[in-house]
Amino acid sequence: MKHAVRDHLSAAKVHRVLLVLLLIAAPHLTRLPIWATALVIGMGIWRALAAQRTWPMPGALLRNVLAGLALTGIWMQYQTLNGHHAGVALLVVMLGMKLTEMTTRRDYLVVIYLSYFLLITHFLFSQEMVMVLLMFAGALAITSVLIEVNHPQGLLPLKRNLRLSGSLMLQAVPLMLIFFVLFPRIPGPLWGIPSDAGAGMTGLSDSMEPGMISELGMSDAVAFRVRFDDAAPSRSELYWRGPVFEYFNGRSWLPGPWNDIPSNAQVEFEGPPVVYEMQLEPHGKRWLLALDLPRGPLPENSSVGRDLVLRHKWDVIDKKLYRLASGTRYSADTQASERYLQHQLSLPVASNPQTREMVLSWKAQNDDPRAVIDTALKHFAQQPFHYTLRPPLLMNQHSIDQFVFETRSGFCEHYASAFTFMMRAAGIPARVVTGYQGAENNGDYYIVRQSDAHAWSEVWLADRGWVRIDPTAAVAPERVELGLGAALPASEPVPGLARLSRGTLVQLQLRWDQVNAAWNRWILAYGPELQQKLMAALGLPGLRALLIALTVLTLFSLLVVNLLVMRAHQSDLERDPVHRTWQRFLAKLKRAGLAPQLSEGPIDLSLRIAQERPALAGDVERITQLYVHLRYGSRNIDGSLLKRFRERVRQFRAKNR
Amino acid sequence: MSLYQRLNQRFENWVVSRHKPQPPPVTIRRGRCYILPTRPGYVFAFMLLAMLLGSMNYSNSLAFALTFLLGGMGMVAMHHTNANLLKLRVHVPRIPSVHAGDPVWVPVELSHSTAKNRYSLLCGLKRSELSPDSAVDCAPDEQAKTGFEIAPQPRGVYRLPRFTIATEFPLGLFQAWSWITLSSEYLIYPKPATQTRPIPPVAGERGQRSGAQSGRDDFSHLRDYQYGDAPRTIHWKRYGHTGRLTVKTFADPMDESLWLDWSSLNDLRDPERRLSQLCRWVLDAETGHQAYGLRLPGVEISPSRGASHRQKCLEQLARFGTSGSPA
Repeated sequence: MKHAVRDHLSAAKVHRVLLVLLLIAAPHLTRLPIWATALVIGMGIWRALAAQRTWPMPGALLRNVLAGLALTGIWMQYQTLNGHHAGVALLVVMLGMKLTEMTTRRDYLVVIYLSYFLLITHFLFSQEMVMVLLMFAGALAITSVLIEVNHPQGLLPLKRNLRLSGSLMLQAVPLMLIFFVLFPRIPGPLWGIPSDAGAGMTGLSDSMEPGMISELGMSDAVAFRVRFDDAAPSRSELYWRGPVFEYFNGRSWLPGPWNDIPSNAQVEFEGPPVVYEMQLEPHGKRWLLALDLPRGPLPENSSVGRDLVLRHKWDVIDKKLYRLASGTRYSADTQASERYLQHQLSLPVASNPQTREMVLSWKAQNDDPRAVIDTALKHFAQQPFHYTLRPPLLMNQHSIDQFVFETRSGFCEHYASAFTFMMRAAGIPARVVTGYQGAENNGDYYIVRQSDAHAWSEVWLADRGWVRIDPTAAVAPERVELGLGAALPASEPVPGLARLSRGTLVQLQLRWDQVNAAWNRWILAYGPELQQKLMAALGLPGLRALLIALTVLTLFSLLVVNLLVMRAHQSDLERDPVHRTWQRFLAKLKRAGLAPQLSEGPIDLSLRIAQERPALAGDVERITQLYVHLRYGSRNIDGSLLKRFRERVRQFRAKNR
Repeated sequence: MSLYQRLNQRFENWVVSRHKPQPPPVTIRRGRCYILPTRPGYVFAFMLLAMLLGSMNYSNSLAFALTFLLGGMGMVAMHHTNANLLKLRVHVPRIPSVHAGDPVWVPVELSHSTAKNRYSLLCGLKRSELSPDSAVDCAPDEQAKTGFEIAPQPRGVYRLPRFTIATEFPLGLFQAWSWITLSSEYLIYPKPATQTRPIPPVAGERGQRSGAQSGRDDFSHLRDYQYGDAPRTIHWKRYGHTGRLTVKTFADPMDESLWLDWSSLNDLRDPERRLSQLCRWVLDAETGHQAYGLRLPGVEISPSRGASHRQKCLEQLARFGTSGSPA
């Protein structure tokens, strides 16, 4: 079944619509499954040819079958239609299908509105600064085709069209800024966020296996930026607490089951708190990195769990800005229950017998937990252990035995894992903590990169509670004192920024990072809190003041827009100052009952008034002479003459006396 | 009647009370220009609301920015739509008269002397009857010709109803419109009767001669061909001899011309049917190249021929009984 429906737009316009659609969808096409990309591009090409050769659109049956197949395909690909990736795939594919029935004005409007919608979905995946360019370019392109749809009688010249859509957009920018700053922001999600949001983001993982952190070590990406209110603590104190693992299955470390239970742990801090502002990059998981340990007050929608990790209520899928205070010296959870501590001792039965045996022999020499810890650290320091980003794979069933007695080279996670295992084997409650160690100074703030990812151990001592022990420091003290680049042998490749070299490129990169940091801090993190702060700083606290400011500024900028538009639509005559002044003069005469007659020129008028109102004769004659001179005298208007003309008209009074 | 309709009615009544008919051309002024969102405009607003909720849900700054940018563009577009219509000169030249049963085409000429091009101007009787397909553009100091149709009406004289000039350019989110009330009139001639009956002989001043074919039979003299003479009056034989076109003229005295007389149709009770018949006769007489006169109660048009004469007769038929004032 084929329909021959007259197309609302000419082929050239259809091609423009398709081109814009391609521009908007292009960044998504790389994320789609290959068949969907092929389908959408195929549809576009077919529609472009159909417009040129006036092929009929396919019938409803074929269209519905195709749409059904595409829907099924997406379902099979993602196992859901919910979530960012499936949702965007659905939107793009359905837009592609819509092309096969795009003929009427309504169809085109649907496609164009969906394109606007498609544009906004890009920001779910990235909010980098360059995306601003995409936003403006995309909005301009879509608007230019919307103008074409509203001008069906012919294609506007591209330049004229872009000037029109461009001026629409430029005039809207002040409104955008006003609304961005003043539109009341409310905290938090309204309905929750799909579980696949943040998939593919780099960061710490919610389990720890050998090799996992060394992978992160290869990445220069920024994990977070931090700005200390006062002086920064020393580098060896900069342990940023991330996910904690309390369960060992022989190979991987996994989180304990009580993460969501708010902590009832007693933590006593020593010394003044370290106050700082965090700019956390999205990592797709819930933890909010904090200097070990956070001591509150906590950011909104966050809590500290039983494992003393600060967690957000939802996954961190956009940049987070929060202020926090931490204490670096503390005694934590000294009153932990027997049952809870028992969990921190569990190990897989009969695993890694060699290590167990060694630890038990240490314990036999000295039963004191501190002595056992010292022995273990000494063991790492004195035996030929190596710190490397490229450790050999541990294929053995007893992976810790293999590491401790055979390979003896590993990254921080190997040491943390082995050390924690040893402690548990010795009957000392212990767990693995992952996070970041160190920070790189850049102007007034510090950068922490993925390559700063680190793993260490915590042991529980009856008098001190949880105590941080970093076995990596025993093997490679430089790691903690100087950072990754210094700790690794020079032959090993490390991310460019981890080495302490300061080439021009690195300098440039750091400068750029400062710009990015400002972008994150002021634009991306702009929300309810910053808004309140800003309004308080302006002396306009409260929602009422916000709404009043929003309304007043909006009306004002609309007024300016109106004046601009009206000026652009003035006639040549209205633009002419001589004419405008003369009209003002005529209006004054009219009010005095001396309106000029239709056929009356300026000189006739002045003669008549001289007769009717001799009192006005002199003024009227002078004004008329000036007008005639300015109007008909010379091509170029004499500025001083014009000034005198205006002045005379302004002073002219023709009241009925 | 729904609340919306009632409000709409009130608004229109208020507008009508402000509009006094003016002779064309008129210029669309600020105070006579109205603007409302279109359906796609409401859909756009709904889409922005969805975008706003999405931005809030994800606390996504760039999504907020795009939403506000598009919202701002919508507001700015409203001013552009409004300005696209302002200072437009609307002129309606002579409206061609038609016979009852045919639609009237009202020609509308748009022009302006401002610097900016005007795009996608719509013209129609009512706001609901505007079609985007009929849009025209208007460059500075040029004339854009458009117009609209009025559905068939019965015979009579009509005042041009209030009509609409509108635009949705550039984004189609708003429709700006102005109602134009002009003092122009147009005529609807009677519908020509289909069953034609012969024109009855009328007692002329000189007896029975006034009748169907009389003016054609009595040869009078020959004269030179003039532009407009019917081919059948040409003396072809003579043309063969002399090579000059000459025309035979026939005795066509006043009393021998046709009188199309209202009173000759006394058997038709319905005045409209009489007028229809007279109309038919006027048209037939004109195509038959006969001189004819028209007699209506109180009106007499002396016999003559030609387009302007025909128009004069038809106009009298259209105006008959309407006391000259527009219906």
